[in-house]
Amino acid sequence: MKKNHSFLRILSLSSFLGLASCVGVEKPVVTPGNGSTTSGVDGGADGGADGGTNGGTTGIDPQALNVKSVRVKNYNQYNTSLEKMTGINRSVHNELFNALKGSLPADNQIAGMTPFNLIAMSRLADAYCTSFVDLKFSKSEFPATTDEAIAMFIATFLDTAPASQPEYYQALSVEMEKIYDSGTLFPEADTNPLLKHRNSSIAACVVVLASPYVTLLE
Amino acid sequence: MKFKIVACSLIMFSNFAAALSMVPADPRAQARKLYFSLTGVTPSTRELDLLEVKMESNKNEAALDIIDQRNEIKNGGAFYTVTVKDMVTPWTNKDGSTLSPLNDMSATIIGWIRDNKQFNQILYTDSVYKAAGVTFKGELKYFPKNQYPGTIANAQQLCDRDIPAADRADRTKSFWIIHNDPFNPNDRNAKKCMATKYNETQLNGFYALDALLLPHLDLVIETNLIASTNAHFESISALGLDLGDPRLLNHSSQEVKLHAYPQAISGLMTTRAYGAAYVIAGTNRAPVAFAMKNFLCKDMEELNDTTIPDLRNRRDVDRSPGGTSATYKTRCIGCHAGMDGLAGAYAYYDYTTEKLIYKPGVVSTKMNHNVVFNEGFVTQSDQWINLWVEGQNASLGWGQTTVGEGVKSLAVMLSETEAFHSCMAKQVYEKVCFRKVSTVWDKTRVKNLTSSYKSDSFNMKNLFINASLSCLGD
Repeated sequence: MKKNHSFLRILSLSSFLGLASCVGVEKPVVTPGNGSTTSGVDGGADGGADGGTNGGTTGIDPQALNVKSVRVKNYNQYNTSLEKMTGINRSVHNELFNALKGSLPADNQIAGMTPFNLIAMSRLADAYCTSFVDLKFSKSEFPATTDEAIAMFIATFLDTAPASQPEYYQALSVEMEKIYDSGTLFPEADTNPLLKHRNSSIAACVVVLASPYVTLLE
Repeated sequence: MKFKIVACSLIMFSNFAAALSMVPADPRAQARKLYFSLTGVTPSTRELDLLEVKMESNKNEAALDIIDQRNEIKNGGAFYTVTVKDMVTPWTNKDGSTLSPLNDMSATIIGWIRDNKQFNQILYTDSVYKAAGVTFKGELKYFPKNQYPGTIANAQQLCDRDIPAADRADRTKSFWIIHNDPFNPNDRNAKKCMATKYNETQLNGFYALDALLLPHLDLVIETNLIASTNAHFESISALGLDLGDPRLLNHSSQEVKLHAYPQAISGLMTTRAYGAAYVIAGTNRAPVAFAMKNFLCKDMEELNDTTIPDLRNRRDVDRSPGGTSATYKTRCIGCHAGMDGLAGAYAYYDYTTEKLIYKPGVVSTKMNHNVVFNEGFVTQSDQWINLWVEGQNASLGWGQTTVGEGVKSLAVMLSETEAFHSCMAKQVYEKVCFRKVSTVWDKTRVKNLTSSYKSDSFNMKNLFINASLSCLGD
């Protein structure tokens, strides 16, 4: 039960990271309708899978959008992406993948996405991240500090260079630091700093691998 | 609370998705899009660095690098393992599901595309692709007989048991195989699971020899019998092997491996998977109906033509369904007239005991059972006739072959149609561009792709490249 809670927290943070990513790359735009300038942070219920019914308060210019062009990875594409990015052979998690296959997106249509798809994606990402982090730990290759760990995740998984995209990089780092700084995610590990570092790192890894950067075909 | 979190996640997800769609079409973004288009997986920064440069000079070369993992591109053969497999797997089952495992039909298609074979010949050429491994050299660890796991999935767990967790997760450091007990080769229970671990130096030695390190599938008796089980191909999927690796899937004849008689062989249409999906039970009309759907992109409803004479309609077709012959004349005949004329090609085939069976000269009982109209056509041989060469279905662009005997000549006829080529172009376009062909713009592109596909010796790999490049700027 506790693990399920962790999944939901990670899921929420994962999506939040995706939102934060928007903040970093998106310039403020003037939204037609009310003329107000927004940053994209307070985008609400529009911009959905079907283009949404725009209320005029989003930070996304609807004229520039073609939401229908956004595709989500299907079960096979996502599993192979996780394998490729972590370097963990898919056969290691074949059993879990087969169990989750029916819950992962069957095709690329984002209109068919459900919360169950997101949960299944997070679960699969969790399995790969656990193997990835444990592999690094066992080889004593895992960074000892939070900053170094975050830098490693960004460098390994994301096409983001700190020098050329400082704002984007900073936004990602801030979001991932929240995972490490959170005292509530893994309270049982408080007494063991190494275990806490491992668990937090797995969560941070899931935040990246279950984020839209990896789950979408864009 | 949980619902709220998930709902928020979805909203945030959508916002990010929307923002991403505004990425400008610079070379790096194009490289990323091309990579997604061809593989469906996320490229690394290093790969994007390499592809970005090439996108400005030669997009075709960049695409080939992605497909065949050249010039430092490493994606585990995702083009074949993900994109091609996802496209063709629905052809191998009646439900049109992508979830089915790899099988002899999908493996053969992947092999043909990988080897740049003329794809217009795949329906009738004697060919099936299966894996051939290289036995490990070096120290092997044997497990006691009573611990033999029984299944390949369990074998891996068992073999992994004594290997450190770190190496278990990293398949470049640990491998496992299943081997018959050399002292008792015919006893299945005597098989041993053997695991071996190499250090980096040893592995580099293997790589230097270009040895493919994988379980020696030929040594697993049940998986070598591809005529009566799909275990061989399922184990390839379970192992996560690179289907694009030319050392893995190899061409061989269907003779012996799938069929005892040469006349029973006709490319994809006589593979075990095709039989398991369409020849099993029924009346052997399904192999024709689904060939139309999968290879010519025409559902039976689209082919319905009530102007065709019903001389080949069999006895199991009710001429007065519900007591009125009008229904037969205005609906049933539209599909059956053409389909029954062609389905005779499968008269000698049946799918029983998990195997596609061919009995030369012996008409399968299911071809003539369920008699409801005595004056209907009685199948006495595997002769077939195409009655759709006239009428609305003449638009499929038939070639010279319009009558024949057996599946091979039927497959040749299908391969000669214009519809076969345009259907391949359409399906490839929809796969790599992630949308259905619906607009005039899409249809024009598919038409152009079909032309270039035909003039390019029916090279499917190039068709994939051209299709993905065509929608790069969308």
